[in-house]
Amino acid sequence: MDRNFDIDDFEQLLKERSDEFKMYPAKRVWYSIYNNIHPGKKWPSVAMCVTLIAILLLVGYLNTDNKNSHMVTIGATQSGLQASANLFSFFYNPFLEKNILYNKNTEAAFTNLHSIKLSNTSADKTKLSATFNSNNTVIKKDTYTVIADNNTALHGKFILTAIKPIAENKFATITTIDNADLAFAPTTNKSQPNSDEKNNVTIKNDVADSKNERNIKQREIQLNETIALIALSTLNDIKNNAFGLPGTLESSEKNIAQQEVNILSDEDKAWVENYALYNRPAPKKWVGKLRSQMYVTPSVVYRQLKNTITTDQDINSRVTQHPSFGVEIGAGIIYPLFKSIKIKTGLQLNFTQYNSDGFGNTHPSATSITMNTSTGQHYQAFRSTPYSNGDGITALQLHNETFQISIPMGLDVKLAGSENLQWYVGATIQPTYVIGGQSFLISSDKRNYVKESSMLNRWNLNAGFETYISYKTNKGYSLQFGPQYRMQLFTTNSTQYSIQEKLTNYGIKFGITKLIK
Amino acid sequence: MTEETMLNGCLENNAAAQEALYNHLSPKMLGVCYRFAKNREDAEDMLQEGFIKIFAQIHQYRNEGALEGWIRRIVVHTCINTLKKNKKFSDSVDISYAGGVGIREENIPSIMQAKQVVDCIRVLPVGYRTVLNLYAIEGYSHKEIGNMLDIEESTSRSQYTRAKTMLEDILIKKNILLKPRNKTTSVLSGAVAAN
Repeated sequence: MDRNFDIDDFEQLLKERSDEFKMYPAKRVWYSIYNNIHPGKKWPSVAMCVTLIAILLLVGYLNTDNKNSHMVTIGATQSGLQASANLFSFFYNPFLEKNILYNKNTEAAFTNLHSIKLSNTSADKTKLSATFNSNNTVIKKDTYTVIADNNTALHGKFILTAIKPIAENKFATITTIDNADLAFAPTTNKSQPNSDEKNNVTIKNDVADSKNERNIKQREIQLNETIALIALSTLNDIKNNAFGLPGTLESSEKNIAQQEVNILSDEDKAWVENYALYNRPAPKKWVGKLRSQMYVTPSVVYRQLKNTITTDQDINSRVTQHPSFGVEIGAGIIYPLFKSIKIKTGLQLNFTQYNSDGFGNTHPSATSITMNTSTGQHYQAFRSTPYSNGDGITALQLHNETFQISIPMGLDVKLAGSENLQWYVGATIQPTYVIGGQSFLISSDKRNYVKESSMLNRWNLNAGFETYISYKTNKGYSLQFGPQYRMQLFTTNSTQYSIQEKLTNYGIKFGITKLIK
Repeated sequence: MTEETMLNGCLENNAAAQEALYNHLSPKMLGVCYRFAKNREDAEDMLQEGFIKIFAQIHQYRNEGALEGWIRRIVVHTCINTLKKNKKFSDSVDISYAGGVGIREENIPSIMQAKQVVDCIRVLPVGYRTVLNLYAIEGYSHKEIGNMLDIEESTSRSQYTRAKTMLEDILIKKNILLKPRNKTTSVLSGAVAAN
């Protein structure tokens, strides 16, 4: 750095501003670094994982015990934020989308953003009184009952103001859940509850004061989704003129809006912002590792015949055949499982062929092929064919060929190499479907060929072995080159045919891979 | 933990010291990476690769100059190497390509404080911002930049001139810079300068 900062104001201030800028990396970055520099000690440890799993199991167990009739009591004379809850204290983090249940005796555990303090003041053990000692808590999707204190009635607007996740990475929308007026005549028909679906709440089962039916003593509110409760209020300050007056809602909203300002502490805001920053969709694990591959392998195809009738003579000596050219074209994906082991799969097309010397005749002659039965017996299947093996009118090359599609699955192991030049060996197993082809079967007397493509096995299995040199270019591609051996594990034709044929390919594979971004 | 303690711990491959050093410097270094990178994920990848190199090569630190400066140089070089692997980057440092690039005003970010300036830098085409980052902020000479990016020194100069002009336009449009009247240089507006 031989230049001094004798630059003008713009550059100087640009540098200062840029140097002030800091960002906090996600924790996973450190874990990755740690795992890289301490390969023997994986982070997080197994014990940590076991602990987390145990906690999750415990939470799941407690959730299953949860009753569905939470009771929330709101004193009409209170300024809000005091309520009753049921037997279970609960905590739901909408950002993490996890419920956490707490035993009432462990109230100290509520130390997070949303906290609830429970105390049992009710004789009815299913209705524990709770005090929300934080302005931020969460109410689960459930049915709640709002009950007026003794000698009071529910007045004014009952308002739940909430935040909830509205879309990915958008959490902090404030929603008034229930702004229904409590000061109307209560519903008398419990089977026909009033509903306010658009506010995600269903109101039902109002109970009127026995002395004054315009006063509601109890209201059941069914939340249709889980919400994060910001404020819970009966708006005591407006209760005296709250009987459906037009100004009530407006003033209540102002009240709530004022509360919102005070409710989210700086710490809470930082938490939400931090969450929004770091809880984007998790990066895909394979990104930056997965590679795509395309390859072509010209090959020479040989075949080996075997007569399943052991008393018969060597079939290979009775036919004249020549290896021919085949080709393999494929595409696939490669994933580095470990530093020197890559797994791979894909889709490939194979064309195989080999030629037999034969003769074509003007008139077909009768012949037979030897077939196996499932019990190991043999029989002759009679055919007529214009193709002969030993002699005939016109010399021909009989093309036995198959078109195959297969799914190679295997792995490559790096034997040696530097960053740019590497040597691998690989193996694949290839479930194969034979799309089509033609097959010339040798007759029982070895004097004729019978064209019988229907005898081709549709399904087969191949194995491939290869070794190759991989050269990484500076444009992000890797070029591969090396010999490949492919062998067919099952016979080309039906096992009913007494002569088994297995193909082997010797080829040179040319491949190119590229990192998938 | 003092810097010397952290350094000694790192030399002994002590995980706690490494984490302390990482926690101490990663926010600033991620800010550096972010100025070079396309997005936050890429920046974090650069940071990760950079710190792996740092911990692997920390025995090469000779106590000549500040440790932070040594680390910063490794991080910057890691960023450059990462960018050079990207074909688009190679194309964009070509002057004929970069000269025709325009910035749509609606793409200019509207945020606050130092991040405002950084995000305006990040609006620049990758070739421009790389040269600008290296010259104006990291303090490399055009000759060094030419060697780092495999371009001519003159190309670095012209890239920087264009980048600076474009950035000034962006900052003026965003009212971060005051439009110069009689001066040849612009100055940062009071609102930002006060931050």
